[in-house]
Amino acid sequence: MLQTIIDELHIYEKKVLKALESLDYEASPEEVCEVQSMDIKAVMSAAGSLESKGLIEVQKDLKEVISLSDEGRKYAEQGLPERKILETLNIENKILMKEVSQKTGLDPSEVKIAIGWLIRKRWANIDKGVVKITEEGKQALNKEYNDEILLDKLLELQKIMLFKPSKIIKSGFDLLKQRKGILKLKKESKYTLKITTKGKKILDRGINIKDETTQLTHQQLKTGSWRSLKFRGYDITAEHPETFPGKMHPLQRTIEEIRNIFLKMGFTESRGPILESAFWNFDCLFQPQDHAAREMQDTFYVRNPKYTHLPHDELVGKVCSVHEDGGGTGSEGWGYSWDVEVAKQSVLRTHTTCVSARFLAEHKPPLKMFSVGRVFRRETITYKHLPEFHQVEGIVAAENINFQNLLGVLKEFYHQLGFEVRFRPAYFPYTYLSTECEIYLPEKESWIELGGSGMFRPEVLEPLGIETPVAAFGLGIERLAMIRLGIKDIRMLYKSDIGWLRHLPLTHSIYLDD
Amino acid sequence: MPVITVNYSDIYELLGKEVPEEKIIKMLPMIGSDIEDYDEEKIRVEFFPNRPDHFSVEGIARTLKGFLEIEKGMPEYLTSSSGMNVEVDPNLADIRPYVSFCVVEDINLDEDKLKQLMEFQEDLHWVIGRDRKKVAIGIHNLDALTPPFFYKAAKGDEISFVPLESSTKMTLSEVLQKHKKGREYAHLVEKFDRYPLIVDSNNAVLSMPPIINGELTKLTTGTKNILIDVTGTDEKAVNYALNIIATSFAEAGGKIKTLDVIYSHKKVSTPDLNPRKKKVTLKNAENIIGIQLTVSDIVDFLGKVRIGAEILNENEIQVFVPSYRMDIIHEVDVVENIAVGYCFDNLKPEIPEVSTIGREDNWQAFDQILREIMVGMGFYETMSLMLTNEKQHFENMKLTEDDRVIVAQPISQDRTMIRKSLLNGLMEFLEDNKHEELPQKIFEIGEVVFIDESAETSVKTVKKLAGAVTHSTANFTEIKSIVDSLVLNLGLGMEIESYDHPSFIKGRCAYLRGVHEHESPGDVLKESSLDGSLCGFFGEVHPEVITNFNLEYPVIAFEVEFSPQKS
Repeated sequence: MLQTIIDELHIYEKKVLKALESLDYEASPEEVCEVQSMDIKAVMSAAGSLESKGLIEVQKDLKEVISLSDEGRKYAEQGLPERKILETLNIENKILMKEVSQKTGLDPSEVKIAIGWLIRKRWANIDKGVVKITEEGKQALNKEYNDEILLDKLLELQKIMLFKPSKIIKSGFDLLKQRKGILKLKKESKYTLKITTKGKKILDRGINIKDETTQLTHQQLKTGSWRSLKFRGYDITAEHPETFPGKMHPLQRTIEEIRNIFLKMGFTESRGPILESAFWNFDCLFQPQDHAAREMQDTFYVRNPKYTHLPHDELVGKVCSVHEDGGGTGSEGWGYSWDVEVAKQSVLRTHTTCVSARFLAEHKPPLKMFSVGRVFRRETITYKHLPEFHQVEGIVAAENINFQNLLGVLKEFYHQLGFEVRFRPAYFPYTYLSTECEIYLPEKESWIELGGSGMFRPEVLEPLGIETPVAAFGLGIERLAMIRLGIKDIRMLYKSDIGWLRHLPLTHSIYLDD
Repeated sequence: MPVITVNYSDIYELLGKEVPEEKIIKMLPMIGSDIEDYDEEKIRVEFFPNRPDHFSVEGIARTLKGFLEIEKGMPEYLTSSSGMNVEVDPNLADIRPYVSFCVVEDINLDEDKLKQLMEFQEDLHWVIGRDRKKVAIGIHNLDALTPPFFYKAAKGDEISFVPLESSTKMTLSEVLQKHKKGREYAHLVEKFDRYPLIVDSNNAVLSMPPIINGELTKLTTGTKNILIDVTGTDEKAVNYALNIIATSFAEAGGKIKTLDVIYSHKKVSTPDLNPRKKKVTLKNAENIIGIQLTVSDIVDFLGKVRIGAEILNENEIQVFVPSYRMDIIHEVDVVENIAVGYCFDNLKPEIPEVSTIGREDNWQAFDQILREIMVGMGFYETMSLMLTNEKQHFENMKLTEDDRVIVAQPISQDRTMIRKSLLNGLMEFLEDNKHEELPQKIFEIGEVVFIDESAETSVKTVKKLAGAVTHSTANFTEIKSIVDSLVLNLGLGMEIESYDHPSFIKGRCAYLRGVHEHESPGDVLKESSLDGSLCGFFGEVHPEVITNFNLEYPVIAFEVEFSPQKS
């Protein structure tokens, strides 16, 4: 037990203990400094840890400390004024009172006080206006008076603690404090280090001060000197600086998780432009040109570039006829006159469904496609809404695809993310059997709506040349990420706090089995 | 979308019996709605815009009756002629050509009913009427009027009347200038020199559609017989709106009577409540939904959603779509209604038996490589909005404004354009985190958009990667080392030359290209050699830029863009 303590002692701690042993088990930190040639910081920090180990006791007392004022420093450097007069008297033997200032170069105001001290120190006497040196004065020429000794010491040490002062210091202090504005006096902590019983036991057992090593070095390894070194054990509970690993953004992490699920389910990934023509964003999806969702208050129209080009005439023509009278689809259509100029307008895409439309225009079933991308809606930024967010879009197109298959895909997707789902009827202009998909939040005991789905309408598919049914879905990602991350403010995803990113753990969805 | 307040007491009265509240709360979403909230007295429920026939309690109860099997199949409404007619002025052909009328007798209006009726009317104005542009509805106290009626185009000063919410007579022009509703809807008619007006045989003004009705025919709690007028620019929409509102009154016990609308070239009797006929086949219904059915199942499920059906043979069903159902325009819509009648809760999700191979998009896969490198160098990934503004994007970065994607009606002055660079997003992130511990190392991978008239969408989307580092001694060497490492780890070599970029300190910025080993140094300077490669710049961010983002420590940064491989 004791040996463990000894082994873990830092070399400075050992040195402090040894010094105290030689100083009758009790000393000031300054004394320890002197004995071991350590600096005060090292002694104090070692004393602190020795105290926490119960090997010494650190006593703290408030003591008076003196130091020099600017005036005091001047006297300490240039000598006291009475000393100047004494030195002049040594040459001139006697001086007329009225000539003292002129002969010594002292200020007349100083002269009066200096003469007072000359007489008090019995270095001179005055007789009929003449100052004459005394015998004591002559002896004092080669010897400092106690106040002068203190001034010298203060100049050298900056400050002196009035704790058990020597006779000389005491008398010097008594003299100087009678002069105004020479000394500064304040209270300071004075430490005393005392060995405890436990500390004595350690010392009795014997501690060896030999070269100890903290950091293992390249040199030690190269030369082999490590073999003869002693590696001090550390206090493993000591504070340490924090390490911050670089990380993927938490929203991106959710996106990656989603991408992986669809890739595993055999979906091919696609992407499309975020600035779209109204044609691909609306018209191609059988959204009538006066549909409420196409209005300015919901959709970001673009001032520059105001218009896009349209795809080939055949597709545009077919889209026009399904809007007007259903074309060859068996639909009634919307029964209005379709305007090609309206379809040319640029918009920031309001959903990723246009990626599906573009994909279907270029690929033949059977196919499964998904796409993750940003979409834009004219929403003011609040804790709940942003003007842009991510969607995952997907389609399954094949001869025998049905509505229950669409539900199957969505159920499997959310199941892989760990959620229970339910479906209920909804409405989108480009699908039939339109369905809202909700997931269950056990902690809130409620269902939340996360996405829309349905079968693409014949009015959408016929112009694109697709003859099989197509199951389609578009699901929000941000809300899913917020549930995963346990955050209530969507803005945190885009205006992130680096402290939050640094401390966010990454382990949420992985279960380590045997 | 319209939110309807449904009182249980109203529903019970219409259903003719009480049903547990929970049952209604569970059933409403299954007929296609979102429940907003509910308490002991009422439910607030949002219906989708394809079903305006659900915007009244009467319409909701009609569907619930089918679901609860109180009354199934297509509702039949008995109508008879009112003997009244309305003449349509041919001058309206270019202004607001269509009108339909209907009389409903024996109605009961109390304060609550009047309020509900107003809301119903406003919801229809919004959803079918496109804020009265396409369709506008007026409901009048019939007993204050003398038929026949005239729908005519009147000059602004031709006639005056007391409009609703007013106590003085105004001319039509005065209504547009002075009346609250007149000013609100003036834009719909002010481009014409004549305005639509409906008067009776005494020239008393019923309505100035689509602006306001006359005070004369205002409904009160004592009103027993009403006249409904619907005007608009789309004949189909006008008739649907009338059918929806008329049948809703009929559900509450009103008797519907028709009027003859006499155009110069034709005469029609409104409302026309005859069903539209569609056919659906058993095979299609089964294949699309994915369940096994019989023809009688189909008749039954359609009956539950109040659609009429008759078996034609073992595969075909004749469907009678009620006159108020404007959402059914194709056989697939009938199939949807079969599924709703079957109830979505009874469907069984099944994984499709279509085998396909999943393929990742190359650019997304490439992003993952970029992320691995940047995260490996201790960088945090950030994501910022693509919508930004000129001050942050150009001015604060010391750049001059140039061609860019500009939003037509921004939500705020902070989001007016689409980014062309990722750097200001990174600077804003550092600004938001200026009180957090340094060093901070961040990156973003994202798309930016440039104008490109030759492209189909008139823009070009470019993938960029940018990074920024801030701490007290961040310098050029550090960012150069980071960028070099990035380029090397992408299997390219780095070529650099000095570059003046206004966002960076002059002399401490470099232009870089990542080059394939097989390229000779001479090729590098040619744009065409950027083949599956990258180019960009890096350096010490200009102190003015740093202070523009209220930062107080040096920032070093880079931005590179990637070009597609030429095949």
